[in-house]
Amino acid sequence: MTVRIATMGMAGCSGCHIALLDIGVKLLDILKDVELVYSYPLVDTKNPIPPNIDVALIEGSIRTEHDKEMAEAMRKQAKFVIAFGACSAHGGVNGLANVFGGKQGVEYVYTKTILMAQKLVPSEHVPQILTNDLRLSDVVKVDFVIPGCPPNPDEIASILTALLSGETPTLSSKSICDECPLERLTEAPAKLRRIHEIPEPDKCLLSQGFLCMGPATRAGCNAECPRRGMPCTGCRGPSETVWDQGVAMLDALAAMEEDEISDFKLPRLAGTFARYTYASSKLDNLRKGVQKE
Amino acid sequence: MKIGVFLCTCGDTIKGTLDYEELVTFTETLPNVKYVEIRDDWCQHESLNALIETLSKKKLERLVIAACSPHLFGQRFYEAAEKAGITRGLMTFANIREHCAWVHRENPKGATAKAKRLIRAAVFQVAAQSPIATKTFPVTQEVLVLGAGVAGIQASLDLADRGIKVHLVEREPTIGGHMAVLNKTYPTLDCSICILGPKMAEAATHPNILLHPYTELLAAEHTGKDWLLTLNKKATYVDWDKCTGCMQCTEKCPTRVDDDWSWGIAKRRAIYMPFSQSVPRKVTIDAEHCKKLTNDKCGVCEKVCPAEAIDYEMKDEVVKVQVGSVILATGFTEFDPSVVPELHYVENPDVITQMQFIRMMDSVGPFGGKLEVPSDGRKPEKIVMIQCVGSRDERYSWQCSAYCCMAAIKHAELAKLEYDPTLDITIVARDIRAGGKGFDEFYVRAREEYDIHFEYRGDDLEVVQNDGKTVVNYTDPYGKAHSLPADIVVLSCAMNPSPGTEKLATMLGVPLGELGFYEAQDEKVALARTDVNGVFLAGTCHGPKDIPESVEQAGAAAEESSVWLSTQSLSKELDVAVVNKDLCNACGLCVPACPSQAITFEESGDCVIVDEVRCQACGECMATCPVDAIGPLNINPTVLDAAIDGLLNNSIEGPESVIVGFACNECMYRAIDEAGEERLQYPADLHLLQVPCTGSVSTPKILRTLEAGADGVILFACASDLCHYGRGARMANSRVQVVRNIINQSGGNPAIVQVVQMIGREAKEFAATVQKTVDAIKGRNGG
Ligand SMILES: Cc1cc2nc3c(=O)[nH]c(=O)nc-3n(C[C@H](O)[C@H](O)[C@H](O)COP(=O)(O)OP(=O)(O)OC[C@H]3O[C@@H](n4cnc5c(N)ncnc54)[C@H](O)[C@@H]3O)c2cc1C
Ligand code: SF4
Ligand code: SF4
Ligand code: SF4
Ligand code: SF4
Ligand code: SF4
Repeated sequence: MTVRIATMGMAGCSGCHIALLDIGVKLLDILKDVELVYSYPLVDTKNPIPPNIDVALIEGSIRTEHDKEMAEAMRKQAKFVIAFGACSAHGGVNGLANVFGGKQGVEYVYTKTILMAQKLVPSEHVPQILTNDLRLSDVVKVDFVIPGCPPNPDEIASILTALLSGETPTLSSKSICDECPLERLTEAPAKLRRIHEIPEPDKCLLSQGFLCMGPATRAGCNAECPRRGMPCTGCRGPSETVWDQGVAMLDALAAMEEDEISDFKLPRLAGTFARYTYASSKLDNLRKGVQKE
Repeated sequence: MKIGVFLCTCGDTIKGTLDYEELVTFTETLPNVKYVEIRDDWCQHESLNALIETLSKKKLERLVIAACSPHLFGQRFYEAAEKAGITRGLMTFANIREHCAWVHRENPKGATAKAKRLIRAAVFQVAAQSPIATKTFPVTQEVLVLGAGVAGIQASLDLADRGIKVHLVEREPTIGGHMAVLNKTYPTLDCSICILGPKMAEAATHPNILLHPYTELLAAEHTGKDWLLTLNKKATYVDWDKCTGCMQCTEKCPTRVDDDWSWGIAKRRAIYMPFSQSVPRKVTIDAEHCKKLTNDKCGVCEKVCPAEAIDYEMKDEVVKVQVGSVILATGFTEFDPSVVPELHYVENPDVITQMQFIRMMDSVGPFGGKLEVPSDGRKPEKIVMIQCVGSRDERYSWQCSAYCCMAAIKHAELAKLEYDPTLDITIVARDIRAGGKGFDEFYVRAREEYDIHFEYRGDDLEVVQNDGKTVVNYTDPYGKAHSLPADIVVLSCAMNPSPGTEKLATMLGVPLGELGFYEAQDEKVALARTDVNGVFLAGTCHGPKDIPESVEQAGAAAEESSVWLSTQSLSKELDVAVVNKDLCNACGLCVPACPSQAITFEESGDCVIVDEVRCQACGECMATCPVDAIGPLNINPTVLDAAIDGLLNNSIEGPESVIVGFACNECMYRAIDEAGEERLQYPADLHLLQVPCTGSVSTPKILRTLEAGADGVILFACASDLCHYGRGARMANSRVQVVRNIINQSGGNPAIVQVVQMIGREAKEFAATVQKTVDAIKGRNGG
């Protein structure tokens, strides 16, 4: 029996779709019993969503009324909906716009940036922008999440393979450190360092003072960044038992007693500690809570 | 799960404020609560017996005591519950007296609402807690002996022969101490090194003794069971694995310095071996004087060393050892006679000490055994020895140094026996003390067989120089003046504690006596024992003694120490941090956060483990762990969340807002109790949860408490530099700043999160501060 798969892109960069293609030859194996019934980024069609979809992969966050309608429409046809990639799973980088409020962002882009000659916010023939960037699960029920910006092709492959063979896929509940081979130091770093202060190889980056989001970020990528000397930026969102990814890491830095940390302005707080998750973070909840009052 | 809640009215002192009927009705509705009972006096004997009976009869598994502060009668309740088979971990207190009724007497409604919340928090909390097991940890079966003179060596050998592993630590490059250079010993005139040498060799090769020469103690810490000692292995700048002790380097080294192993009467090179029988037989570079190390000149020894053993780059090395017991055997030092003005020790080179004299006479010593007058190298004819220098002299010490009469006689005999039988030797003493075995015979023989003169002095004595000739002037006990010319004057000096004794005493907490020697637990019946657990004394570090007495005490110290190892253990309730290995990612964040150094990585590297002995259950690790994988057994993230939810979930009808205070269980909780005892009044908005240390409350936890509905959060911490767990209070501060910034940046009112730091039991200040802080949170006064 062939499995009917659909993919879809919302507010995103198509990177997740590229990651899907990046599975390479193995993709052919996966596609053997699959019918790709709908996938406008890949198959160049915008026909109405067909019925009886088995699995839908939805990339991107929910940024406009149109995104919302499309997500709802897909949900109606699909048995199993996957939030595909960081934007869909946690709001993604797009979510950082929430720091300024949705409207203000649009205004800035259309009236202040050089490329926009007319200096006019379009109002006709364009979907209404939402006040806040949302993750997919804020608008429809999501059955599974594939995190990452972009998701790891091997992980996508193994999840799809599991699904196609009727198993329930799982994500690691642990954090990046669990997969990270770098040697831990037992002393706290004396001070925070920035990435141009080249880290020592083979030693845990956080213990060297580089902000590595590893401890609070969900494992599954095989710690590809830290093992190459690049601190984890947290693209896979919080690991299972973390209350809030960004706040947890802020706390870790507070332990270093650097005054700077307690003065971070919101854009920097969000951009540093909740780069991919701000829209779904406790930080944003707090802001929304206050602004509602 | 069956929880019993026992409410106390404390006579009538709480009743007036709290509506007990309401409390009971409320408590009965709480999940898992199967039994509620009110009494006026739960803390009293009869009621406690009733409590035990009820717990058993009703088959209750956990209990909450809603009464006074646990700091007051907590122990009684724990014991009672234990009798009913309920361990310490399965009970909790709701402090409805000091923290509630007594401080809100004008606000019965608010107080009752608050008491409900406190009880609910306790019920939720106790349901999340776990039983606490007790475990026994034997002390580590190793001993550190500090100081390797005859006493330290003897104690080490005695222990090692019993199969106990010994760390023998000596700050000099060689072991042996004074006895190694005494030449002969009284009263038998046995060769000193011939007795000690084999012991030194045995100590160096014994499979159970690990020698740490040229090593000093940097820090000492008691873990509750063992001593954790930090040693500094000083750089010798010579690779001892390569050095063969051929001494080619010491011959060629151009730098000459005073030889401390000859007590300054001779010179040695900058690269040296203390004495020819040194153990280990290796050389050391004196970094203070070596031209290469001070000026980057010379380098001769490196060129001549056939073994390529010289290493100018060598660094000190820090070593940690963990032992069950410590034996102090740091010995003595000769009293410095330069402080006695009438002796002119510094100005007159012919005035020397007994230690210098014996070094001079040593046939393998720096003079090759030549006895000569220091100022001109003549053969001496007259020698005068002066006794009690620095002893029995109220200016310095009232104590008799015990060894010096015999040592002087010994040295006088040796001089006559080995150098010149015609020498005219006079010993000027206050009296001769010869109480030991064979001592008096020794004294009589010196007088009668060797013709050594003994004269007796009163207080007046002076060494003068007339025309370059040295004369000892003194008055005898009958007031008659005498004058004795001398080619050499030898001073028999007191035994003083060795330098550094005071520092060690502070480090280990061993008391010092009036004269600066370590004090024994009892100077009659516990001579080798100190007041400090597992620390014993051997030899002259305890007071002036000769070799036999030092060795005797060393034997006693070894005996006591081995008994200590076999009988002592630490029985500890395992209310310590527990790691959830399934959750831990070995990120390592908690490792440096632990003030007790209790956290290390498991061998596999997959997670961390907690040293159950070292852990003090402070909870700093819990606050640091981003994934909630670690925390003290009964105040772990789940328990704390349960308590927070108990305070906040579902509103309880009451006029107050709910401000959650996390109070450290050290100073702050007591200050808060005291405010209650003094009936100081403050707003009932404040609801306190007891945490071991405010450093256990993380940034996420503060925000979560707000999310759960708290109107404000206050951390009640000790003063930053007085935190019982190091930086807990500083962390509390740091976290509050972070949270305030987050709230501020999100457009909220940062004043709803506060930290209050106080020293000790400042009840009045506490009440006033609470009033101010609650006002600030409620925006009544700005923040
Ligand atoms: C001139 C003279 C003659 C004597 N003649 C006799 C005699 O004939 N017969 C007799 O019975 N007694 C004699 N004595 C007494 C005898 O020397 C002592 O009783 C004996 O040496 C004491 O041994 P000890 O191990 O207690 O101390 P020490 O020999 O002083 O040994 C202590 C050791 O501890 C080391 N040490 C000190 N502090 C530290 C530290 N912080 N860390 C590491 N190591 C440290 C020292 O370097 C030293 O090696 C004489 C004493 C003197 C001064
Ligand atoms: S480098 Fe990052 S991911 Fe690796 S152990 Fe350190 S904190 Fe964890
Ligand atoms: S020359 Fe070399 S081997 Fe010989 S004693 Fe000196 S350091 Fe040791
Ligand atoms: S380098 Fe130092 S120890 Fe070596 S010969 Fe020169 S002065 Fe002496
Ligand atoms: S509870 Fe405190 S002492 Fe125990 S392991 Fe954690 S941080 Fe260390
Ligand atoms: S902080 Fe938590 S996850 Fe990290 S090593 Fe410690 S217990 Fe493990």
